[in-house]
Amino acid sequence: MLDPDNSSFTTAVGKIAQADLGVHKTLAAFNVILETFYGVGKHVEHSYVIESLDPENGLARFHRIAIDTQFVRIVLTGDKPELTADDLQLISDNPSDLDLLTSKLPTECFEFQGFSILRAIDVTQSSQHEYWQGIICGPDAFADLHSVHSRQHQIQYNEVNILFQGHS
Amino acid sequence: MAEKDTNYDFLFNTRLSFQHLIDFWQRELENDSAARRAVAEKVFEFIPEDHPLRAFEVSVEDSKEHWELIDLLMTAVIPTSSGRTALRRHSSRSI
Repeated sequence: MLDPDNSSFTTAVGKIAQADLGVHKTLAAFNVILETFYGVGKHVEHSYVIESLDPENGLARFHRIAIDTQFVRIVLTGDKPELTADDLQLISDNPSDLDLLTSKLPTECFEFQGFSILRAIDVTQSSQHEYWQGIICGPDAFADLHSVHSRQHQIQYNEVNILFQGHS
Repeated sequence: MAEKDTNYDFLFNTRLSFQHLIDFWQRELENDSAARRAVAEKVFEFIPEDHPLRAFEVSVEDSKEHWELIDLLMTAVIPTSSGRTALRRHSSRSI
């Protein structure tokens, strides 16, 4: 639920800052427009991972935020912008380029009605696993050692032990 | 109107509406399952025709005032068992 000062949402897994959502929500919206009005792509789940500190112990936690748009309808508020095949290809090659998207699909041409659902899923364990796996197995293993030390205090020892056992 | 910040704001005009969710419950009234029809009928007992949540545009204030009913409507997509209590219990567990 949106907090009284509109700066963040309170969810079952903690607070999510509005500032972390703006770009992602807009990109998801463009994706729905392309799907609805231009038949581009198939329905995809829009999700991204945010990092926050657990207020109880100060450890880093990761949540995957998925944006569900099944109760959103888009209404054209003017003429539908024409997109050429080249435009669609350019957008397909640069799906996160907001400047490109807003130039081809002016935002004032569309209104979003309804509401979207944000699902916050705790992915702390898998994120840590991927992080350590990248360091242990990645090509820059030695260069990353300093960041291992800087983050080591944030990660609980049980998890570290499990991961190292998996790679010994 | 202040210019929107592309790093922060949602760039499109929006209108908060629960009509599509209520439409779902309306369809549930015709469901083959008697149990699901009964649940839908119960839902509509709480949300009569003139209820603010049925408005063309719902204000944030109205949505906050009727949050319990929105929770009820949302059981269409989010089962009660994965609601706040259960999730909080899960997420507060140590790794």
